[in-house]
Amino acid sequence: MPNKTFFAFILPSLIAMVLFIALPIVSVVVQSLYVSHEQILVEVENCQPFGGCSTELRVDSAATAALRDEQPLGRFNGLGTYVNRAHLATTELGVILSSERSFGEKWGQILNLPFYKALIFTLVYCFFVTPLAMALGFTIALAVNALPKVTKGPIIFFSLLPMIITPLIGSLILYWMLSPNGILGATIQHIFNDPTLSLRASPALTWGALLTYGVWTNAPFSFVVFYAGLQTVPGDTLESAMIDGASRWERIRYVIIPHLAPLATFVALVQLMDNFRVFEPIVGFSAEANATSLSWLIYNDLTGDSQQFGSAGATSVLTILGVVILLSPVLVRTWREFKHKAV
Amino acid sequence: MAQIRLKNVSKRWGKFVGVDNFNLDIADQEFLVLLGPSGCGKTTTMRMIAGLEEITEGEVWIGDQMVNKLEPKDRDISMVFQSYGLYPNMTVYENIRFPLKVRKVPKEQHHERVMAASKMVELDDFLERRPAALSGGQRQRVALARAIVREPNAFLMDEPLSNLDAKLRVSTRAQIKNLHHTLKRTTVYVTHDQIEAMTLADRVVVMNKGVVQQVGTPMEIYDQPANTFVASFIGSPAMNLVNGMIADGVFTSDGIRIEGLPHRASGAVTLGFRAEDANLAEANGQIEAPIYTVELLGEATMLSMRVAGELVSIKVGKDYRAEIGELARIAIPASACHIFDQSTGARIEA
Repeated sequence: MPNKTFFAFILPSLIAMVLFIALPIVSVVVQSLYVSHEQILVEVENCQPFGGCSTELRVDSAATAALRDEQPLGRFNGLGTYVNRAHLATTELGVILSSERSFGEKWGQILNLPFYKALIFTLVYCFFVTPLAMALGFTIALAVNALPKVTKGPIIFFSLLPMIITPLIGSLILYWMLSPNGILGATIQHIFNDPTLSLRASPALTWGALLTYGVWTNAPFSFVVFYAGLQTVPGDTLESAMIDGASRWERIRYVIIPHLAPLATFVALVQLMDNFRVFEPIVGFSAEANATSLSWLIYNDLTGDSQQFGSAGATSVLTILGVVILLSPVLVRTWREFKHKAV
Repeated sequence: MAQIRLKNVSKRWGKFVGVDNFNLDIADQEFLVLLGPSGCGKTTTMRMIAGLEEITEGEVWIGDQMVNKLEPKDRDISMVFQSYGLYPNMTVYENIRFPLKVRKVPKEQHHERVMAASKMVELDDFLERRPAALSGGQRQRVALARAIVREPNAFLMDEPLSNLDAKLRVSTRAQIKNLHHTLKRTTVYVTHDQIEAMTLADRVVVMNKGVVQQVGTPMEIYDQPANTFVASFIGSPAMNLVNGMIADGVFTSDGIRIEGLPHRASGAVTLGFRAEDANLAEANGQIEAPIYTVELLGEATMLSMRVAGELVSIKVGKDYRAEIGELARIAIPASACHIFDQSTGARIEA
């Protein structure tokens, strides 16, 4: 294809990518470098008829509004937002790490820093949910593939339900079931013989519930992709393996898994990105006391009376960097393979 | 020792009959070819022997064991597939070693046996390659090596040459024949190519629509086809078949008259003769018809002419030249003629 034709061909998507991906990212980066203007204070002399005069500080609303109108982005803060306590907290982190405390205490203190608290949960969620959901999805796909044709349809439908249900609703349902008078919550209290055990009181239970929910809601995607992949496994190779003497497990290990490996890379990439922006279950489970995520931090900055665009922007940029770091091994591998093939 | 015995074996999918009441004894070390057009049930028969297809009715015996309920891996057979069935993520060496590995053959034997098998099919130089880096012929040789490395009692081969080009097909065919001679194992070979059947087989089973048409040595099948289906399937070109009437040993039809045929047959029959059995007549021939085409084959010239509504082929000397439309006289010796019942297609013996 001549270069010109190729260019004309991809121009619409290029424009869309610039408009809807590149520009918003640039905008977020710019916003993250600014903070909103502080209020302008004026000293006012306040004289009472009988008490003499005193001076007091007052907010000059008109001047503040005028300044904010004039420079809507706010005050340039450089990387200040990135390193403040709500984000990378470099100063606080330095103090904690250089202190003489035990590792456990240091860990506890780091967990008190909002960004690290969110980052740690986000990473745990990513690396726990992604492999488990993929394994579960693969297992379901193998099971469904072995079913007789008549039962396949309904079973596939039921397996897809978690994906069909809105995440917020799904997590709310599990939350209610886990509440002290819900079926699961009451059972857990009974099993552990602890009437105070509840999602609110127990970070471990909250994390457990969030991770379980994550696996439940993510498995159907892996299932669908792997199930489609299973339909493309070459029959001859599978039958060769049967005759060569491979057991069912060996056929899965030596024929099916290698065949689905490229697909698994794709699923892992998509799931990692998806899980890195975990958000709904935290809202659904009202889990913010025990677990927050990077996306939840951004949401938290943008709701309420005063939106902190700078802070939300900084967290967003850090999230983007996180995704890049997370995906870099896979991206580097894909790139190497591409170059290898090109040679 | 691996005789394979099929007793009243049938395969049905609902109302569709894949294989109907198949009976056969395959001797130990025999090379048996299942031959027939697509959909005739030959592959299904082989898959039932392998255990890849459930048997609807009947019994399959390998050696002195009924194997109907045995898993493929427990039947002590190995199989070569049309599309090779190699493991793409493994090297050639690992592919060949795979059956030893999963069957828990002691590890110290692996190397020696893989090397022996790969040497037999001349793959020694490619052991570290992956199947994707091999040609079709090399891939099929990997499949052969993988089949022989385990030294099973019987080999099953499902159209192993179909995916190869014509030249490679000839050399791989020779290799398979040589391997059978060296290894002396019972081999069941499925093909739709009658030349493969003729060149490889000790015995050929010709099948059509799930039914065995004839079982015999290649020469028996060629010289005494049991019915018009076998006659038209074996040989290149296929046997000429002309419908007509026979009475008192004289066959007549439009443009053809042959005398001196056996007296047993009478009424409406199909007469068959092979292109190479006919020749140009000096004076009065059995066929007198205008030439339809002249094809130069190199070692011979093929004439075709229309007789009783059918195109018949006659193989004549390589120097023969004639124009289309020219009248030709053809001699067909009565001894070279085959007579088939016109309604059933069955052979009528002399």
